[in-house]
Amino acid sequence: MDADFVWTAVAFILTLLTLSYLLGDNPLFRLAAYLFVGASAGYVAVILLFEVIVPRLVFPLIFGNPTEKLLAVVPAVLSALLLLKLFPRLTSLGNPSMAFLVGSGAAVIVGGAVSGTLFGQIRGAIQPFALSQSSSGLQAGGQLISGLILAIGTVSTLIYFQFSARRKANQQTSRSTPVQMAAFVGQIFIAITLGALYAGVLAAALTALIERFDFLRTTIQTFLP
Amino acid sequence: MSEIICPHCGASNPTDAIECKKCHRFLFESPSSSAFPFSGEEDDWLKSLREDAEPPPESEQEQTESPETPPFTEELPDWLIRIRQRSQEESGAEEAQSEEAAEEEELPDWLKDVEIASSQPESASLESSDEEELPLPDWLSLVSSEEENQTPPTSVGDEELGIEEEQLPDWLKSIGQHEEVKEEEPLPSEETTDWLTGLTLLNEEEEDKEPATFPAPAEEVPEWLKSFETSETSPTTLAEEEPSPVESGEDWLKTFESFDELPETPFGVESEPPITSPEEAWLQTSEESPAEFLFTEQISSPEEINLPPDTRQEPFAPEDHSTQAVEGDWLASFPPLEGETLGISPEEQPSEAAEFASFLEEVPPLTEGASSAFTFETNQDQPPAEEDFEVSPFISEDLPEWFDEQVFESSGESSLPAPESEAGLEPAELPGWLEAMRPIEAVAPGRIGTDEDQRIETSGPLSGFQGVLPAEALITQYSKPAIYSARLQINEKQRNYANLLESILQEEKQGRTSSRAKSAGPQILARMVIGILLGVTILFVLIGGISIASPPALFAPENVSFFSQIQSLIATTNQNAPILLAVDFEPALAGEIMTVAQPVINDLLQAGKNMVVVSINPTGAILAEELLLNSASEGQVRNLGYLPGGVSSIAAMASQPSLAAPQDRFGNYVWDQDPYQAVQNISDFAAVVLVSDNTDTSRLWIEQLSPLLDTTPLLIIASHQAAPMIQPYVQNGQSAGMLAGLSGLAAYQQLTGRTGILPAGYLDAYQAGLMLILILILLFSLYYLAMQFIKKPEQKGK
Amino acid sequence: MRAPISTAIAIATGLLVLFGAFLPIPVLLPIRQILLSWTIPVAATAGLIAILNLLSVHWRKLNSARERDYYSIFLLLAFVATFAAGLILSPTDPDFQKIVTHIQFPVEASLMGVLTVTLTYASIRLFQRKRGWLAVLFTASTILFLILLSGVLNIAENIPLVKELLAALNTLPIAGARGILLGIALGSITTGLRILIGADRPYSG
Repeated sequence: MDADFVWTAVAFILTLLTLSYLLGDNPLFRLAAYLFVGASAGYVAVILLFEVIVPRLVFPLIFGNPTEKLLAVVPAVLSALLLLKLFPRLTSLGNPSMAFLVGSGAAVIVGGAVSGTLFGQIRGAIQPFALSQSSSGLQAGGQLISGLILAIGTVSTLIYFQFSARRKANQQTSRSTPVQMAAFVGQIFIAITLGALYAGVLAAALTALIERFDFLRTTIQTFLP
Repeated sequence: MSEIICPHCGASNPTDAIECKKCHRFLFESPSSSAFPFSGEEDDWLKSLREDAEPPPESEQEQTESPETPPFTEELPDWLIRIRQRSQEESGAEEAQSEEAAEEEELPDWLKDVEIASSQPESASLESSDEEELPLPDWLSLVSSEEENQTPPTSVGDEELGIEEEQLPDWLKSIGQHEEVKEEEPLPSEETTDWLTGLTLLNEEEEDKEPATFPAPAEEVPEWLKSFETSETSPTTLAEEEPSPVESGEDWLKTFESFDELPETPFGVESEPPITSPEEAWLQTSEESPAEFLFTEQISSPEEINLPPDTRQEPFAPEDHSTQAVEGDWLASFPPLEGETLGISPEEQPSEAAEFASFLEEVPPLTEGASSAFTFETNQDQPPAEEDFEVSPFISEDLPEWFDEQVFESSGESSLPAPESEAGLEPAELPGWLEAMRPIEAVAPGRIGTDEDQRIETSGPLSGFQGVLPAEALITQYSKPAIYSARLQINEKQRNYANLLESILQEEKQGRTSSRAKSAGPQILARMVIGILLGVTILFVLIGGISIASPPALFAPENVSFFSQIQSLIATTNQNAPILLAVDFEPALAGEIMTVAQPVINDLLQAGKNMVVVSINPTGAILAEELLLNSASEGQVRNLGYLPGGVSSIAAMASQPSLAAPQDRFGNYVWDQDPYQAVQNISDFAAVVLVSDNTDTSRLWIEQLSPLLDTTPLLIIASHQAAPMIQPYVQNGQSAGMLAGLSGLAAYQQLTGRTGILPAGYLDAYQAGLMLILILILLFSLYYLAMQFIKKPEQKGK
Repeated sequence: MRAPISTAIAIATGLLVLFGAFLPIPVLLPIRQILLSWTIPVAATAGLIAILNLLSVHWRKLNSARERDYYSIFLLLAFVATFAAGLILSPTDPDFQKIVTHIQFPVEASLMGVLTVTLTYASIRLFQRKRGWLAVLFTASTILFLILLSGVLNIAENIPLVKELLAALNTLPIAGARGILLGIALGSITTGLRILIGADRPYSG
């Protein structure tokens, strides 16, 4: 029996088992899900071991030159400490490794958020207002209006997520009227964006479903005489 | 109790026996002995005293069996019975008066408090004995070890404290009733001092009145008893329950008067009227912390150690009250102390009153030194000074260290509630017998182990026990558990935020209140119907080859720019720099992503572009190989594989690709070969093509790469689900172009002018499926909206 | 201070990485690069730990008398088989890669296909569960963008006004998305800075 045939049959069966969830949660679906998780875990473990840990830690420490060994010592120690997380009594010894990961990750996120998103999106929000001399009056007007709408939407969306408020004399807290209005506008833009996202998810999922149905159709056509 | 069965050998012993006649082991071993390590200890000297003073056991047994014995005699220890018998012999005529005085039916609150006060340490001690795993302080472990070696104390368990109200004699109940009223208000310390001063004087009178009750010669007084001098002058702490009103004080004093006339009654110090102390603080502390009672009970006084165990454990026995007179007698003869703080609670006195009388006769009488000590004590604001303990005569050279330790700790016993109405008493009005008694009462609270007392012990003459008298530690250990508020400590600003957020969320919830969750059956059915409809539609379009989709005429700007960038990359044949293909998609959307990315990658590969593939997804590397499988020639693509670490690996790749991923999946070094060796930074790539289906990770890629790319274009092939969040980056120029989903691929196909890029039927099925979904949503939304509008008037009409 | 060593490591690492990206100090850049390269094997170890934890959980479920889950045996067997195949074949073997292409891919893609039905059903019942103008607006936006994504208006795109209108509608989500992205960025900065100054120590648990 051809190996490709087996693999295709496996994929076919797994597809059917998974799609059986449309009939509700059933043992076949669970079987497929558990097999999937187990196989994925095994695959990832193999990848991590043979494509990351062994070539980046083990080999440099054993076969590397002094520089490579030196560079591999620290992550090896951190990795060893991290493995102690598996043991409840020694789990705190793995905290330095986690601190290393968290600290570096936090710094990367901060830097990326500042330079990648904050500056970039602010620049993008004000960009439409930098009219080029070559643009005509109608184009400039349209660009200005478009930029204005986008700026209003951006600012109002941010205001919507701003929960600052003042306490009134009657001890009730509420946002000021302008802020409330801006938040209301922000809600509109958020609803539009979330609608677009929802439609995008639907479209992506539908594409996946189409691909699966196409696979089923192709497989059936292939194996049927 | 006609006889006592020895727990060790089983032999029968008379009720007054302390030790077994057969095995000569102590008969009273309490299960809670660990909690009261010293309470039942009996030294040899006390045995000898008893032997000297007691009548023959046979005669005592007869007396105990006499009908005059209180009904709860069986619950009393033998020593107490002996005391009672002796008292009866000495003043049998006065017994009736005490009974008259005790006519009240119910136990008063103050007496209950006394009971509680006395039971608290016991219960606590019991608990402590049970909780062996609790870390005992050093001193307590020392005490425990001592206890093991000594006579086990008489059980002061609940059953003994359980001398219930109905068991109490009337006279004691009457005392209680009076004291119940007196508990209300705290007694000012000055007043207490006054009456205590007077009591010291009365003690002297008492000494004169009954000299014969102390026949014991002075040389018989043991060393430890000499230390009573200090206890007599110890700071008499006034309890909160000290009777303040004069009237009530008179009442209970009348009761005591009758007690005083009952010399035959044995000891029962704890059943006395509330022992007063000016130190309210200590009482509060002791009341709040049962552990302190335990502490003080466990290590009470040296006398207590030598006493028969039950001496202080029968607080409410009528004998106790009657013994006050006896105590008052012999305690009145205590010499004035030097302002020392330690007092001896009456219950800690040797149980044999007659024995005490005999050897205390020679004790120097209490003088004004005692009152000065009281004056010192009655300062409410001033806790017992440490110096008091430092000069405590209890610190005898003959006393062992553990003994000295307990002398100080025993002060906690006097944590009995003190009637507040005592404030109204004037010393001059007190009768002699009462004044003789008061020092007894005053002594007891003076020995109560307050925090200050315990601190003094640590720095005073008992400094050797500094670390083993853990007053604070015990308090910490046994005090009421701290009540932690579950409420968040938030400031005003945070509260405002929380309120605002709550109001916003409340608005969101309002729409759901009217909805009702339906059962799973219709849901499954609905899903099946939708699934079948979708399946049929898709398969119908796919199999039937129905072409319903029209090519796009309007191209989104990002599609156009993407196409332009790809075209420029293809056009630049002389550029040798590789293209970085950042793969960041899951198999779930591989159907969409690979469908869209395949034509673009093919175009680049066919143009001879070299590629470096990297993934932050474990499956990305393999999916990328699938993507490149049919188009890539040998050596054209280097797959660096999976980079774990998420954003950190992205940053590492953006910072220095050769350091982040020096080798490809096969273990070959990449960056020392042409054309990859030219890449030192991320901007050295000809372009970066990000293939992503994830909103978050695509954002991270853009954030990390775009500031470093310089002129290198960042092109994105995205899923439809990630496109809306990537679009702002494309719109502001951080990304050079984007191709999203099948519609994007359709635009790319349209822009390239080629056909066949899109798989056959995909776009048609896609369009048909979307339209079906659209129709379903539209129909049902309108239906529910209509139903909503229809139901509203009906509800209004109802 | 709780976990001072870990806190010091986190702060030092974070500051070096952060300053290496922004400060023009030559020595900081290689330090940053080395630190970031170290995160990759350490993160791989963390991934292995996560997998081991997953296996231990399922092993316990399999041996638990109270909550015995017999499906866990399939998971464990699948893991063992896959891991053994990886050890034998090596991860770069094409047959081993079929685990991804013929097991993970079908299951995940099918799950995503099932999601289509689920999302459609959720959209249908939206008005049944939630009312109000926001629900109406959200549904309208969903319908609008489904129409735009489907391409059914491609025919009408040649009409001038429709073309501009559709272009304007396509840009509408950008405003909200930009606001959301800015909010995410601000939140990320706040969270990251709290970690960098030691105010938050999620690693000390």
